[in-house]
Amino acid sequence: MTDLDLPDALRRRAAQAVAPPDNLAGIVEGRYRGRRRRRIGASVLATVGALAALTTAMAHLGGGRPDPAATPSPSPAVAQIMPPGGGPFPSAAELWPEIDITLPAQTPHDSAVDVIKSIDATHVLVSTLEPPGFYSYDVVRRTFQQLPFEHLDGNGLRVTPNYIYHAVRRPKPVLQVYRLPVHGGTVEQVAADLPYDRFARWYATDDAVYGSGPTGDGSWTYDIATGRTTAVAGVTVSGDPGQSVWRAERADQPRAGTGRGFNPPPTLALHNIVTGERRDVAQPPGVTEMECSPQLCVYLDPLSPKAPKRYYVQRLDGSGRTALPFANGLGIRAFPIGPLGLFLVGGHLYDPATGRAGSVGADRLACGMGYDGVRIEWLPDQNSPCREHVIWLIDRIR
Amino acid sequence: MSDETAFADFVRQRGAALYRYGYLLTGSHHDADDLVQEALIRLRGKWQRLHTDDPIGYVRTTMARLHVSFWRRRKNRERPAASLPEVAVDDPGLASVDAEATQADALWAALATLPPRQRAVLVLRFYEQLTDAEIAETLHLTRGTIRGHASRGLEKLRSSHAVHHLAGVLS
Repeated sequence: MTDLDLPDALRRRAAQAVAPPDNLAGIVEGRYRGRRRRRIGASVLATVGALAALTTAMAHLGGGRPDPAATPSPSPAVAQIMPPGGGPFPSAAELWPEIDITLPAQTPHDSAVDVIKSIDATHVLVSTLEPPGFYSYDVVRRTFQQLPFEHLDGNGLRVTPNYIYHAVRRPKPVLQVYRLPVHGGTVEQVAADLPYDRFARWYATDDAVYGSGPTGDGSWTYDIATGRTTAVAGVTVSGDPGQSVWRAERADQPRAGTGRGFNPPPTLALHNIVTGERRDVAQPPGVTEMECSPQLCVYLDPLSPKAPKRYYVQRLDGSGRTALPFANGLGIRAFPIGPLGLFLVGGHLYDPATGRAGSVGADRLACGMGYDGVRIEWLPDQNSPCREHVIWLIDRIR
Repeated sequence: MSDETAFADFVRQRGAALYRYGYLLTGSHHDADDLVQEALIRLRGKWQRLHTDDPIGYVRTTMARLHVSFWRRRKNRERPAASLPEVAVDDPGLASVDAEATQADALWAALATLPPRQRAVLVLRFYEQLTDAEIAETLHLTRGTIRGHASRGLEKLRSSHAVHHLAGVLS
């Protein structure tokens, strides 16, 4: 069989796409105007960033912040979410200097290093690609210590107060889970055969592994002490992958009529896969950019497309709506930090629990940015103001 | 030039390319149609701010994210077949052409089995020719995750019974 050139094969297949309708611009214009009139987002892309994953660990390790997963009330006082004045705001890197992770020039095997997340106040988890490996990087001594996991999968790490968990799919379709004490020791296997259809997305505590599958058939608990797997009562979602006990549930609404078109906005809710608690999320009409912690949502005002950006913060139920004094770009990101979550919004890092906010910096607004829920990364680019590789590990904020 | 006119010009110039991109992302002409229109409606709402910046980048990013977050929930729904299977013709002179076409069809079928993120990463990398850093920003993921998706996606394509070789691919 001959070799197949993937880019060429894709181009050939793409050429088979149907041509757009002649009046595509008119169709889009009409639908856009109709949508504005109705002020209804036909397909809300309200990305609900379910948070709070590492907060248990943070509370134990840092001793500073309560665990939002254990917070009984989802309704913080309005005063708590009021941001400070109208700026200007200090640099976020000056406000929270601990988030700026500078890697030494000398890395293990001279490999490129990915910073993954915090282990404790002075150590962060990093990985290398060539050769693959996981390391604990001491941010004070600027040294690397290799973690003795044998099977490596860069997407399968969780940090709890006392352990670093690592899961690998080997052999498929089974998930094997290993863990290593955060302050050193030996790797132990805590699960050998978790079914992948129940634990494709997983989260760990010191005592259990929680999982949900790709088919949306609920969440499951694997008790490490007993080796028993049980369903989490009341949780029916599979939700987003990631580091959180909270999973976002988006339920499609029935489409009216039989014609083509888009589904009406889905309903949004957060499920705690450990406790089974459900929190409904109120969606402002027409919102297309929204991120939520288990307590608050931050969103872009959808009603002023030609005006400067206007962001708001409110409780999950829609109450306590408060305008934020940020107007720059970068959109909205949410981080699983602190009792109310942290948000990157309008070019500022904003902590609703304290009202503190720091500017990302005007130059960086023009730079390519990476984000994964616990960190922000800017890569050097000759065509932008960014000349250095900058990593902010947001989960170091205590 | 009014916003409406400028936007219409943009759609006329870029519409076909966006449909091709949407078709690769979704694997379906109908879904590509929906995806492109939805992304363009969103662009229309931001046109005044974006038209001098990078509207094509905005649409490409919007389509990729919509595909991952919205279309993946529809993956198990029944949809009409995009094309009917063809009947084999015994013609030795067409053997080499048939082999290539069969491989391309197998690749397309294997691509359809990938999770939306893996598929989006491969399309963005090998069709749109984006770098891993650009894909990471487009999909809100880290470069490491992008590399993982690309690696697993390529491995699935390679391990599918019909696609044994992928040339021109740097994993």
